[in-house]
Amino acid sequence: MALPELAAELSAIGGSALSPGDRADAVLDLLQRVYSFDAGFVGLFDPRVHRQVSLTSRGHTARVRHYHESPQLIDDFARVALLRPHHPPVQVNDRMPAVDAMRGWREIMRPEGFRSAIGLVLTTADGRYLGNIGLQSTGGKGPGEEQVRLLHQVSRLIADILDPLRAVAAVAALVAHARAGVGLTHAATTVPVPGLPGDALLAEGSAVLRVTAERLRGGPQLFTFLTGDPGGGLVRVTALACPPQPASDLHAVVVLSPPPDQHGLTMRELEVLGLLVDGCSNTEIAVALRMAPRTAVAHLEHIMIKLAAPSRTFAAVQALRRGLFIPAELTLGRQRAAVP
Amino acid sequence: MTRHDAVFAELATVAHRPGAPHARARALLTPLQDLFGYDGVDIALHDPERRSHQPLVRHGHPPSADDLVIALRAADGSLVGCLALHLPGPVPEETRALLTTVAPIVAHAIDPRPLLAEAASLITAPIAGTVLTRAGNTEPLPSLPGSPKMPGQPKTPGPPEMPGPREMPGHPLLARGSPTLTEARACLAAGATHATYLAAAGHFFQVTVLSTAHIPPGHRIGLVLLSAPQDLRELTHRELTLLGLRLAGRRGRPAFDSIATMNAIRAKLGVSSRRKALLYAAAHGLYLPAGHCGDP
Repeated sequence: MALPELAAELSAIGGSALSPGDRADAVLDLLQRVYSFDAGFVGLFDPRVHRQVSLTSRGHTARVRHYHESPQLIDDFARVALLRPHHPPVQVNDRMPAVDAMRGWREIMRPEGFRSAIGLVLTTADGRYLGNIGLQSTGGKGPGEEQVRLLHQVSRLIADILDPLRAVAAVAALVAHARAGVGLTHAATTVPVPGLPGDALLAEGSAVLRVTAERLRGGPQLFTFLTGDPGGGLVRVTALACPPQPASDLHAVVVLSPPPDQHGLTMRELEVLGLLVDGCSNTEIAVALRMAPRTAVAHLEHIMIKLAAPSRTFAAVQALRRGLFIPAELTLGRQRAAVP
Repeated sequence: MTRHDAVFAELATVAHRPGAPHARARALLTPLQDLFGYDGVDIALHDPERRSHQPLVRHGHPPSADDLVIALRAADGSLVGCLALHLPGPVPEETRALLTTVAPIVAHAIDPRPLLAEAASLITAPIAGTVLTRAGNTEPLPSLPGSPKMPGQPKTPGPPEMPGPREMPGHPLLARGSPTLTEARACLAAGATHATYLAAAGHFFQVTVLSTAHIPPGHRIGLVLLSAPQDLRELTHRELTLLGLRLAGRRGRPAFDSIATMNAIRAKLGVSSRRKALLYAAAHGLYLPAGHCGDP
């Protein structure tokens, strides 16, 4: 099987909504056509627990599967540089020097009848070590030179399609004219989004990220709003909650982009809308924004005219869907308005 | 072929890179230059509804009649776009063969559909999905394993399903002209970047709508995805219908009954007023749409 053909097949796997486990399975099916192995696994390294999380495994007993997720595997892999980004494939067999130092091989894999194995390092295009693929054989020969070269070449492509940040980059690309973005973890730390710069507004612990995390917790999956940028203008924030993924602590993707058509709404009106989308009454809005009730009503009337809204509910729903509001927490600081 | 192997690897790496198609198209130029030594290149995306090609990247010599042009087709044979190269001097047969080999990789790199599918994979366990087009058609979404799961059943974290056809399954709720799609279309037409609401077909489904209109070639205006609803907060079918009516600017009848129901909803959602309950429902997609995206 030649590289262009492999690349085309991998493309189909990459551009799908397959789950990580299913992607890994499809990858092993494909590798089987490059090199006929007897057993294999795909694991992603989870830095939080410093061990691998198995995406898929085939032809292995429970004992071997347990080993794959154990600290012993990390020790063994470290010995042969299989945790190092960009490292070429490593062949393990009885001819290998110091093979006895690899406890997992000696005590687990060999007794299971495996005589050779090849380990691939998964490194993403931007140089992150992601995890490993191990292919085992009961024969002692292992893959040939040409096969190893091909496996090395495709391991870079495979890393990109198994990368948990891949879907994050796809979401960021869904946002029109995205200019910055971060991944937000459950631990409130940030990770870079491939292909997008960060931004001071999206720094760890920033008000924007606090609002995002709070609003997404147990709430809607997607959330768009406006906030002031340091230049005095407005910037759109789009946040999408991520479902749990193996070896990933990602909570949400947060992206900055230019503001949409504001329909002539003023900064103050966008702040009033922030309270309106939370369902606040006229009185609540007036109290929260320290204005006379009459002023709040006037703002509302202007908003309804500008959004061509026949009712305040309609205006609020439109604002919510178009992200035409500044969330109350950002206007009022940490203590929120009388919500709920 | 060996001479080209490194370039192929480079091409394939670029084609796999996550992110937007136009960024990938730009990144393809260097390896394409290495392979073909062109002095002009034009990569365009096909818009079937406007029956035209939308330029994605253009560089060097302007398009001309003696360009070497090849149609870019996805793995399923559908037309994605075209690649035109302006080469100095006569074109040897070998170069044409090389272009044929490269075309599927370029097609993949610029095809926006995988991007939509990958974004869809971030929506919790989508059961089915479709792409809405500007002209009122739908397109299948590439991907998704297995058969549609029945919602309402507890989701078991069992073994992964067998990889099935790489196309997301459709669903009767997502048939052309269905109320679910009509609502999605209305929301997108009203300028929504996203919307979420419920659909009922024996069970409840969560509908998620994402605007994709700015992604070239531009005829795919949005994604509509079905997933199992998260937490309905014990709201009944009747209550969810009333919320939809109220969000569409209509009163439930009789009015006193509607107020009593809204009070019950308010209590279930744990908020302090009926209005907050209504907006909470809108933000969390806890309603069955009655009109056109709140249009009375």
